[in-house]
Amino acid sequence: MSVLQLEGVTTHYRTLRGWVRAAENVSFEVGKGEALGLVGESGCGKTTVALSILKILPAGAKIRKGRILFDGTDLVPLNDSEMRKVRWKGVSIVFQGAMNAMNPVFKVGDQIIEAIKLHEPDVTKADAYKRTEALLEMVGVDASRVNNYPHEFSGGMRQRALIAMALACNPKLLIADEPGTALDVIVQSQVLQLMKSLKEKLGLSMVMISHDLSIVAEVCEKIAIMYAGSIVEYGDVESVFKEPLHPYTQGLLGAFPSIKGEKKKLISIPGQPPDLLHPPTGCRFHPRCPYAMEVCKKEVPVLQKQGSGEHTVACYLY
Amino acid sequence: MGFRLYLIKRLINTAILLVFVIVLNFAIFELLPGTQGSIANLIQNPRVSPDSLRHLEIVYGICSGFDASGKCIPASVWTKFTVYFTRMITFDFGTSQQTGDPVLYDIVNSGRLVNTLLLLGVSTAIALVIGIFLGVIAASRRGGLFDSSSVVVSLTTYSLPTFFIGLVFILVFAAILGWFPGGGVTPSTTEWIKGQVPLTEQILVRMKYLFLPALTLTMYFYGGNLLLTRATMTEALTEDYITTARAKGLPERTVLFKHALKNASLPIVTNAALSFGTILSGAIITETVFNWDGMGSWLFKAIGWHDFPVMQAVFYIIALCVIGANLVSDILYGMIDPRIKYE
Amino acid sequence: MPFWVVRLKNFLATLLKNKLAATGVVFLLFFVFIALAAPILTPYTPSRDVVSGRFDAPAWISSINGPTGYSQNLAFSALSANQSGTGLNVQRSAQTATSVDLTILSAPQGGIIQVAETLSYPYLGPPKWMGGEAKFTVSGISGKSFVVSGYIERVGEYKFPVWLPTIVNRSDTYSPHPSIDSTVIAFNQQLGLNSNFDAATYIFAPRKANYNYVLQFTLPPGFTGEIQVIQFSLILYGNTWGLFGTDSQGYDITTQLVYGARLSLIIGLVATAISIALGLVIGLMAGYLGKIVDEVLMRFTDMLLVIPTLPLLIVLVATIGPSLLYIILFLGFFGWMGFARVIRAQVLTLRERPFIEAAKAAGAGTGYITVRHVFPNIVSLTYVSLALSVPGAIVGEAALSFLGLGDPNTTTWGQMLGRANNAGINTANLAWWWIVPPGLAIAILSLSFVLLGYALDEMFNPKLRKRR
Repeated sequence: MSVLQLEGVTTHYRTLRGWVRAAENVSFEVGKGEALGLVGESGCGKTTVALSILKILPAGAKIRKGRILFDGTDLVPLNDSEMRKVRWKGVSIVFQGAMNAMNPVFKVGDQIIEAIKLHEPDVTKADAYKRTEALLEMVGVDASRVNNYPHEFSGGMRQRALIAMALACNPKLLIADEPGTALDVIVQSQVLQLMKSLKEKLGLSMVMISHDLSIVAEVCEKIAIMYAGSIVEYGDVESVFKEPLHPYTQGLLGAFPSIKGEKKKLISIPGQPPDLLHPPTGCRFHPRCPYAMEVCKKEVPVLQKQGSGEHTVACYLY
Repeated sequence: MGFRLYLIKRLINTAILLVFVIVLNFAIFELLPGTQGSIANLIQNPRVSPDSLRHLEIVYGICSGFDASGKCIPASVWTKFTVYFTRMITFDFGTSQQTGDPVLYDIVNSGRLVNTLLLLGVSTAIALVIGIFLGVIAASRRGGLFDSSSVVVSLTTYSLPTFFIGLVFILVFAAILGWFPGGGVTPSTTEWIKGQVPLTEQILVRMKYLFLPALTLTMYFYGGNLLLTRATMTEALTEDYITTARAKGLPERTVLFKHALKNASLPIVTNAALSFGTILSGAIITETVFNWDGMGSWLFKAIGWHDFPVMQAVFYIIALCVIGANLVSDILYGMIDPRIKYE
Repeated sequence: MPFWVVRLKNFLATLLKNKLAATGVVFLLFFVFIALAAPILTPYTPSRDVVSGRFDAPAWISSINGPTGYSQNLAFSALSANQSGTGLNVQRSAQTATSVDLTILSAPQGGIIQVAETLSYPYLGPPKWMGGEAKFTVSGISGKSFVVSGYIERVGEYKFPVWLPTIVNRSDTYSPHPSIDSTVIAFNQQLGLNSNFDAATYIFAPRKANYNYVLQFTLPPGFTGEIQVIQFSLILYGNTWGLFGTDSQGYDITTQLVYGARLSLIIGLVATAISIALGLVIGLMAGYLGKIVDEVLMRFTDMLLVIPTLPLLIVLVATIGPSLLYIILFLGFFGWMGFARVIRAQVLTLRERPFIEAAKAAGAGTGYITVRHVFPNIVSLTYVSLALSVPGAIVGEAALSFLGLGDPNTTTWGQMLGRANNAGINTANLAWWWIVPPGLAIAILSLSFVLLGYALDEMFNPKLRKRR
C-alpha cells in the first residue's frame, strides 16, 4: 500500500482578480521507502502541492477538489486539530536552508526540541535534548552546536539542521522542498548525499521538489513533471529520462546540460510560463509547444499509460 | 564584540545624553531672557537670613565673592555651570519658591514621584498588553473586518488628545454616572490623611481612584502599539519560519504569539522606549485633568506659581526617566535578538 | 494641459480613491472653509462678547428634550411714549428703536410720561439673567424737579421696580443705580430677593405672558424742558444659545470654535513647515556631506529625539512667556528630528543610485545634484511627513494651552478645554457642550491629517503598496 496518494488535487488561490489556478488535478502516488521527484519551473505549483499535503496553505488558498490519502486516510476533510497530529509526525517538510526557514530568535536545538515535545509530550526535556543532539550528529552537525542560533550556522549547516528537525518525530513521509538550492554546488551535493543515505537508512518515503532534474535523478525512483499546475508526465526515473514523451519534458531535458553525456547544443523552451490566473485553454503547454494541434487548444489531455512500466503522459501526440 | 562592550558603549551614550540634558536645562534658565538669573531663584526662601544667603550665593555659584561694601561680584558663566552641574547630578534642586520646602522633598518624599510611576506603570503595561494582543490578532486576520475596524478605531483614539479623553471620562463616569471619583489620588477625609484606613479598603479605594486616569492614558497609548504590532507582525507572518512552524503542527496560537511575535517585538520594544517621553507628556496632562497628585500636576502648579526650580527639577527627572527607559530598551534589544552584533 | 496639471490630477484621483484619504480630505476642506469664513460665520469676537447666559446649553437641545425649562435670548421692543395729564403738550422727535426725544412744551397741571417697550414671553423656561439700559439726558428744566422711576410689568398682575423713584432736578445724564443687571446682587436685593436669586428668573416665571418695560417720568405742574431718552432697552438672556451654547463667561462657544480652527490650522501648518524645512536641511546635509558632519548631526538629532518634548516646551514657554509666535517656533524647532532621519536615510540610498553617479560623472556640482536629482526623490516623503507632523503640532499647542500656557490674546481649542477644566466639571455643571466640540474638533482635524498621511504613505512607500 502506498504511503501517500494524491487523487485529482486542485488548489486555487483567491485574489482580488479571481482564482489563481496553482495546482490542477494533480495525482501521484508514493510507496513505502520510495522517493518521488516533483519537477518543474519555478511557479509551476510544486510548492503549492507540498503545502496542500500538509494543509498549511496561505490565507486565501483552498483545496477545491481531490483527495489526499495519507496512510489510507483522506487529509482534505480533516480539521485543523486533527491535521496538527499528522504534521511532522506523519508528514514533515524540509524547506530551503538558505532562506529564513529557521526562526532566527530561537536556538536551533530549542526549535528541534519544540517539535519533539509537541508530538511526544511524554518525553522528558533531557531526553528530547539528547535526541536533538543525536539528530544533529546524524545529519553531520556537531552536537555541541545545539545551543547556537541559526545565524551562527553556515548555509549548509542550516540545511542539515532543517533536515534533522524534519526527522525529529520519525515521520513516515518527508517532503523536501528544493533542498540545497541556493547553496554552492559542493554543499548542495553533500546535502543530496545526506538525503539519499538517510532515505536508505531510515526507509523514508519522500517527495522531493526541485527544478533541477539531475538532483531528482540522483535520489528518486519516480518522477512527476509539472507544468503550469498540472502533471504532464509521470513515471519511473529511468524511463522518463530515457524516453521523455511530453514535449515539455523533452524541452527540459534538452535545456539541461549533461556532464556525462555527449556534447549537445542546449535547446531552450521558447516563450514564458503562462499566467495561472488565466491559463491557456486545453493543454496549458500548447502556446509553447512545437507540436501543438487544434485539439490541444480545446481539450485538456489526461495522463495515459504510455511506454514501459507505469510511465504516463498527458499529451495528444500519443 | 561582546555584550559587555556593547553595554559600556550604551552607558557612555547615556552619560552623554545626561550631560546634554543638564546643558540644555542650564541654557534655558540662565541664558534666555525672562528669568533673570534663575539660579538665584533656587535659594529664594523667606526663612533664609542675609548671612546664610551670602553663604548660599557663593555655594550656588551666583557670586564669586563680595567686595568691600558687601556687593556681590557675579561669577562667570562657567563657574555657574560647574556649580549647577554638580547640583544636578547630586539632585540638589534648591528650594521651592512656593512651598519653601526643598524641591526634591516636594517631588520624592511627598509621594508624587511614586504616584506618577504608579499611574504610568499601570497604564503603560495595560496599553502594551492590549495593543500587542489586538495587533497580533489584527495582523493574523489582515484585511478582515476586525483588522480594518481596529485600524480605524486606533487611529481615532490615537488622534484624541489626552485631556479631551480625560474630560469626557470625568463628565460621563464621574459627573453623570457617578461610578468613579472625578479626581484625586485618595479621598481627602481626615482618616485617609491620618492613614487610619484598613489595607484592603485602601487598595480597593485607591484602585477606584486610579481607574479613570489609567484608562485615559491607556486609551492614548494602546493605539500606537496596536498599529506598530500589526505592521511588524504582518511582515513577520510572511517569513518562511512561520510556514515551518505551521508545518511542525504547532497550534496557531503558538505560531502567532511565540514564533512571530518574538521576531516582531524588536521594533515594539524600541518604540516603547522612544515613546516613553510621549507617554510622560500624556501623564502630565492626565494628572492635571484628574488632579492626580503626581509630578505632572505638580509641574502644572509650578507653572501657575512661576516656580522655576520646581519646573526645572521636574523636567530634569522626566528626562532622566526617558534616558533610563532608552538604556533599558537597548539592553532588552540585545537580549531578545541574538543577531545583534553589539556594534 | 501642462504636464504638472495632469500629474496633479492623476495624483488627486489616486488619492481620492482611497476611502480613508477621501474622508481626511473632506474633513480638512471643511475646517479650511470654517477657518476662512470665520468672520462671516459669526459676528462676535471670541472670548470678548458676552452673548447669553453663562453655561448656556445649545439652543437645539430644547427640540430634543422638549421646550419645558428652556429659554433663549429675547429683547423688549416696540418703543412707545404715552402721556397722561390735562393740557400736557409733549413733542416727540428723533424716535428710534431704543431712543426718543421728548420736549415738554407745557404741563399746566403736571402729568405722567411713560416710555415703554413690550415683550410677549414665549418660553417655558426662565431666562438666565437680564441686562438693560435706561439712560436719559435732561436739559432746559426751569427750576422744577421731576421724578423718574422704572419697572417691569407683568401685564394685569404685578409691577417689579427696576429703578426706584428718583428725583431729577438738574440738567444731566441719568441712569439707574444699581444698574439694571440681574447678575448684580444689589439689583436683586432691591426687588427683595436674596443674593443668589436672579431677578430675571423671578420676574419671568416660566409661563407665557405679556410684559412691559416702562420708564416713567412724573412731572410737576408747570414743568417744561427736554428729556432725551438715549438708550432704553432690556435684554433677557436665555439658558440656551446658538449651536454650541456658551462657556462660564457667557462667551459664544461657536465663535471660539470657528476662530480656533484658524489658529489650529495656522499653528499646525507653520510649525510643521518650520520642522520640515529644518529636517530637510539637516537631513540633506547629514546624508549628502556624510562623515563628520553626518556623525555630529545625527548624534545631535538622536539626543533631541530622546528629550521629552512637552515638558521641554512647558519649561521653555513658562520661561520666555506665552506668545503664539514663540509657541509655533518652539513646536517647529523641536519637531524636525524624525523627518531629518528619514531624509538622511533616503539620501544615503539615493546617493548610491546610478543616475546620481552619472550626474557626478557629467560634472554636476553637489548643489545641482541635490536640487535636480535628490529633491524630486524626497518630495513624496515630504508630503507624508507634512501630513503626519501637523497633528503633532496641533495637539502640542492644544496641550500647552490646556495647561494654561497658551497665548492670552488668542482663543484656541486647547485653551477652551483648559478653561473648561479649570471651571471644573461636577454634577451641577455638566457643560458637555464646552468640552465635546473643541475636543472633537482637535481630534477630527488631527485625524484628517493622519488619514491623509497614512494614505500618502501607502501611495509613495513601495514597501506598503498593496499588491494588485
